[in-house]
This record gives sequence, structure tokens and C-alpha cells, in this order.
Amino acid sequence: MSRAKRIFHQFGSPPWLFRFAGWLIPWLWLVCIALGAWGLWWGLLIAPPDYLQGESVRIMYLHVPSAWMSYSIYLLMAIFGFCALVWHVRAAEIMAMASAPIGAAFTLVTLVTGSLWGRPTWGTYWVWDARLTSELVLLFLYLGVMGLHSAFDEPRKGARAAALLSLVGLVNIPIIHYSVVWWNTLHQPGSVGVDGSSIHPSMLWPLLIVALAAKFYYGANLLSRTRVRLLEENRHRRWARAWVTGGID
Amino acid sequence: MDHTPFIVGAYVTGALVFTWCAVAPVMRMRRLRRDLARHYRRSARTEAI
Amino acid sequence: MSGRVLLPLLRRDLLLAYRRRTELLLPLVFLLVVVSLFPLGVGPGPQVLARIAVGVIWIAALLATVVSLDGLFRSDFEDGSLEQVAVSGHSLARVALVKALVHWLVAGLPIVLLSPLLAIWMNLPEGGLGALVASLALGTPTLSLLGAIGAALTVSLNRGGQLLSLLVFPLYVPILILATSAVSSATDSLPYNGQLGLLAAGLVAALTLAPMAIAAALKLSLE
Repeated sequence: MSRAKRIFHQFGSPPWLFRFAGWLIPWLWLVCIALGAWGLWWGLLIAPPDYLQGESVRIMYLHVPSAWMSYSIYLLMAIFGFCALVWHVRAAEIMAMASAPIGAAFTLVTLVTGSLWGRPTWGTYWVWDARLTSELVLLFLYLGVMGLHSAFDEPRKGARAAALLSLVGLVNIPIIHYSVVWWNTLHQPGSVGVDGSSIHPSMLWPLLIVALAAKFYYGANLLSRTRVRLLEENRHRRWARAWVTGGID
Repeated sequence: MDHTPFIVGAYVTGALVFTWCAVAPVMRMRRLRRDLARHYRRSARTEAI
Repeated sequence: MSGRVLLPLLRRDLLLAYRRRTELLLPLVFLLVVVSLFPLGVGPGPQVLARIAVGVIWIAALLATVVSLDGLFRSDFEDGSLEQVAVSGHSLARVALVKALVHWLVAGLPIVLLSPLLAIWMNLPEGGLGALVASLALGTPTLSLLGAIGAALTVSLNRGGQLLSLLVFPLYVPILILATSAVSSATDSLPYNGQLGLLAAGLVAALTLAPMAIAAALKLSLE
């Protein structure tokens, strides 16, 4: 218990987190690139084309992991936001706000790849399909969090307000998702789903590897954004000065 | 219908977005570090005087 | 404590609203203008209008709600009375509930009352009128409660109004879907109790959860 508590406090200590993140980021990038290259090589060159969708199924190796990440990053952002609001953990505040642009990037890629997949498959770039529509609403939620954060002059106050908004959004996401799915069944009976109901194992493995690479991408990106904010906020501390002038990690 | 342009387009967009998203904090860190170094040097000089 | 403090607060806010009644009429005029633009934009064909009537009326109601939300806490925030309430030890969540109730009474209820007129303008099929009024009566209080969260988050910002719509509209998506589907079912003479039941459930959930979120947001804004 006391050990767990110590780790928790250590995690909230800016100089320790700054140094630890600086050490960890290169390893995360290494694993991310290795896994990403392996998964995409498998998916793009080895895996067979789908017998229904043809070659366009290869977009799925980017689309599906992005869609998974767009939701899980929102969940993580809200969890960090909850820690920031309840326990006033500074590091959690920073990480919640650093998650938002990364999540928005994944959501954007999901939307763009979804519509590029839709053109050869459905014959049109945009269909008000349930998944695409709820991704679009998710993008608006991310933009709201980012907009609220940047609207405040004091970054800390903005971060706390945006963290609260992310929690409100988290409660609403399942409701939005199910209402959109239901709305879609009302208006388009028998619409084609983005990913088929069953994924062939030859597709599943590369998909999972790319998804894992995406998680490492998020970790590395999150930590490097966190480091920038930590340095900005602690510029008057001695450790920040020592790092900048001495260049020691 | 040839699907290649759509696949290439999807991966190029993904690469652009993710690269930009990853490079942005690195650039900001570099700029911040330069600004802070200048700031610290200046404050050290005024302290010496 | 609750009744003794909250009833005077309710009376005060309603009185303040009455004194600023021209300002309060603006969102309703806005609603009428937005709805009247649609026949001009898509043409006056009764069939076309009937098809889009529910959506237009509901979207105009969402817009009018958001337009009126911006001022919900602003004057109380600027003259310091919100801070007084916060330090007085009264439950901020209950105060938030009263504020949302006042907002609904002055901005939501008029929309419900005006909706038959809008239905005539938009040539809504007659079977849908009851469902439209019921869906607005159940949906607009939820709009006020959810919108108050956004209003409380942006109250300390100078230009919060533009941001407010971005924060609030995604949260309104389920209500819009349920309400419009209730009215469409009614015009097709299908049962629509299910949608109204879900709208009512949403209202109950918002009544229990939103005041806490509004109170937390107000506390953050007052920091």
C-alpha cells in the first residue's frame, strides 16, 4: 500500500515525471514504429484481399485501429480529468489536456479513411452511417474540449473546466452512440457496416498489431506533450533551469 | 474500379496527420527550450550586474 | 433550508426575467425567424415542408435554446451575486436546478406553447401535433439542464457564446433523434410512447445529474 502510494506521488512529481518521460519516449517510439511497420507490412502485402470488398479492405488496417483509439483516448482523457478534478493531481490535468489533440487526430483519420473506404465500396464519400456519424459527433466533443481549454487565459483553470466537460461528454457518449445507431436503423434499413460482422483471422492479426502500435504512438505522443507543459509550468524551478542550461536529461 | 488511389490516399492522410501530431510537441519543446535558455541567460546577466 | 431560500430565489429570478422581457423575447423571435426561413429556402411546396417540418421545428428550438443560454449566469456572475450564493453555504446544485428551471420557464415553455403555430407554418401532418408538443414539453427541460452546464463552464469567458454552441450541440444529439422520431412515428400513425418514455427517462437523468455538473462548473468558474 505505502509503496503504491509512493509511486502515485512520485508520478505526480513534475521533475520525476519529466525525467521518466524523457527516458521512456524513445523506447515507446521504437516499439511503435516496429509494430506499425510489421502490422502494416502484413496487412498491406501479405494478407489476402477481401472477397467482397476487394483491395479496399486494406484501408481497414488504418481505419479500425484509429476508431478504437478515438474512443479509448476519450475514456482515458476523462479518467485523467476525473483524477485532476477530484485529487487535484497536476500531472493528470496536463495529461488530460495532452490527450485531446491526439484523440482528435485519431478521430479525424477515422473519418477520412472511412469516407475514402466508402467511395469504392458504397460509391460515395459520405454516408450518414451510424459509425461515421457518431465519430463525427465524437470529433465535435474533442473540439469542444480543446476549444474550452484554450479559451481561458489561465491554462490551469481552462484545463479543469475542459476536464469537467470531458466527464459530461463521457456520460453522454454511450447515449449518443446508441441513439445514432438506432436512428440509423430507422432511416436506412439494411445498411452496410464499415467492418463486416466476422473478421477473418488473416485480417485479425495485422489489425491487432497495428492497434497495439497505435497505443504506443499515443503513449509516446502523450508523454512528449506532457513534457512540454511540465517545462512551461515549472520554468521557475531549479530543475527546469538545470535541464535547459545543462542539457542533462 | 481501381482501389489503389483510395488506399494510397487513406495511408497518406493518416501519415500526414499522425506525423504532424507527433512532430508538433517536439517543435514546441525545441522552441520553448531555446526561449527559456535565452531567458535564463538574460536573468543571470542582470543578477550579475 | 431549501424551500425558504430557493423559493425567494425562484421569485427573484422570475421577476428579473419579467423586467427584462424584451430581451427574453428575442430568442423566441429568433425561433420564428429561423423557421420562417425554411419555406423561403426550400420552397413553399406543402409536401416538402411536411417532410422536413419536425426536423426544422426541433432544430430551431435547439438554436433558440442555445441563444438564450448565454445570459443564464452572466449577470449574476458579473454583479457578484453568484459568488455570494456560493459562499453562503447553500447547496449550489439546488441553486443550479432553480436557475435551469427559470431558464426553462422563460425560454423553453414559450417554445412548447408556440409549437402549434410553427406546426401550421411548416404544414406538419395533423397526427403529429400532439407528439410534437409532448416531445417539446419533455425535451426542452433537458435542453435547459444540459445547456446550463455549458453556460456555467463558459460564464467567466468574454466570448463564451460562440464556444457554448460547440460544447452543447453534441450533447443534444440524442434528444433531437428521439424527439423527431417520436413525431415521425405519430404522423405515420405508429405508436410513439417508447420515444416519449426515453425522453422522459433522459429528463429524469438530467434532473438528477446535471445540477451537480452545473454546480461543479460554477465552482470552477468562480475560482
